[in-house]
Amino acid sequence: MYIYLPIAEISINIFLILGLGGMVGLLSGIFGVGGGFLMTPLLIFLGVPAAVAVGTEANQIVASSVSGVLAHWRRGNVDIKMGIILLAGGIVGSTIGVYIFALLREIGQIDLAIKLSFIVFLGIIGSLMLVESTRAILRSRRPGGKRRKLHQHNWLHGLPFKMRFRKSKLYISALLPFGVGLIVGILSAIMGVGGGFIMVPAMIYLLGMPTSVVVGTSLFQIIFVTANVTFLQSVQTQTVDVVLAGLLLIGGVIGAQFGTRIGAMLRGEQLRGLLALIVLAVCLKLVWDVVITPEDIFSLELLR
Amino acid sequence: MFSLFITPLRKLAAIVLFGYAASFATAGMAQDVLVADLNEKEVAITTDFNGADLLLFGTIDHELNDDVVIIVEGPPKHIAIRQKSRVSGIWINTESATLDIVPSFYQISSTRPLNVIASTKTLKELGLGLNNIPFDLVDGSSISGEDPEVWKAALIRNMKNQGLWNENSDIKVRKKILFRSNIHLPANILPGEYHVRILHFRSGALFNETYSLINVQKKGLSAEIYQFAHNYPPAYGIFAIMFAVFMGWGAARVFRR
Repeated sequence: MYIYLPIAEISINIFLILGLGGMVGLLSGIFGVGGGFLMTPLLIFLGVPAAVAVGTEANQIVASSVSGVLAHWRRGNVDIKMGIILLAGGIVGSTIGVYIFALLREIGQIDLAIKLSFIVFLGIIGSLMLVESTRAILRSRRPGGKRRKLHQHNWLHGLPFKMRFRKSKLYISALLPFGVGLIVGILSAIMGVGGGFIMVPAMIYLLGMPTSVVVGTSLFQIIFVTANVTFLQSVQTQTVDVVLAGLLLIGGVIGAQFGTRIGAMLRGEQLRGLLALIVLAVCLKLVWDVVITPEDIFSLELLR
Repeated sequence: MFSLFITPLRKLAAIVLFGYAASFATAGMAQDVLVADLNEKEVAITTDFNGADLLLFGTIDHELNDDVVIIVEGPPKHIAIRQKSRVSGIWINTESATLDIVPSFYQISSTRPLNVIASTKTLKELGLGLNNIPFDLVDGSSISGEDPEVWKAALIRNMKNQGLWNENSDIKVRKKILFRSNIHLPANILPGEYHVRILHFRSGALFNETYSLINVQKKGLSAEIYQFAHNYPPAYGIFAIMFAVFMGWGAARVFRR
């Protein structure tokens, strides 16, 4: 059964979209990640225009983050003060990002820019995760390894505008979370991701936040940043397809339910290792796409 | 869905017309009667749209060296052509040119291959065939270095691959009087007016012609969403966010354990 997507302006098999949503939902349930960083490239592989994939994915992440944050909210795992500072950076960053996006689209380089950004970030995150999880698996086989300190003090702690974050038990410069939010915001707009896969490690290792509040706080921030991206992309580029977003979400919600159950049966470091391999596989496919000689070196775009 | 009710209609149309045309033929018509019609003149791009097939049929006084050529042209658009080249191992769009208006859809069907029907000169004058679609750049756009013919060939090749342009010679004339041709509009067509020209060639020269029009429109929910997104972008953005928040909240409620 085919469905005509009103904004993407393509006709696509409805079960393919539901299946994709379900599969990415399953993975995000298993691994506890947002899934935007997998969904956007997979949509592009399916033939959805890259710009529409990015704009639509931002919209879908709003929905999945809302459903995710509620559970954390009830358990009090959201550091609102930290979230608001991250958010301030995120709003500035994503606004800049949407302008960069529109500019790249104008000069005909947006597809390449999206692919290269994914290659760089999926490559880095995938490799780091693989190394870390391999070490963790090796360490667990050799008991008695020494534990690392929670966080180290360095020049970052000398920055001005210090603030107290009670829930995170931190006294750090507000510039740090603002900066993290800013960078993640730019990426969020250009890549159509929530940015959790960058923000979570940054919050743990750079800001030194306790792991218990990291996920809830990042989801809280992601809702507003992706909402901002959704709004700005709608205004600037008209690339948000609500029908596509809705279908992906339905598949995603169902997939995530099964994913969480499977995830509970597997061990943490094995999970991270597996996710790292998936991330690297998507990254390699994208590298392949930009490196091999294209079937036709010419391409067309119908202008409005 | 479309093809479901087109099939019986097609049969009916063919039978009715065949009888009608045959009675004319026996009456011994002296003049050329070129009559053509389409089984559908409105095509709606709805939520379940996946392309449409139309049937064009008509009658002519067919003699030995006669031919029928049918041209369907979609709304004219500017097209950007981009050329990739390898820059430090990566394929990047390095050259681009913007074409002045060309038809976003072009199907030309004929009874025999075009170059058999008429001379290259005639075809060029009448603008028939993919090669005779105008290839003009907009002001300020240029093709540096390379041969424009390579770019023109690239345009034709890519439009053909997308199913938007095509050239075929599968019009059949039955009993020297009835002709029919299928018009396939793929799922990626643009809405707008599609002009249909039906040309009757006799001994290599244009003898008679007639016109028809197909109106392709977005209809239903998909049309409304598209209009909303393009006419009221800020409102659409807010709607998209509210929709997502509502869906997310709903999903959390349904699956809360």
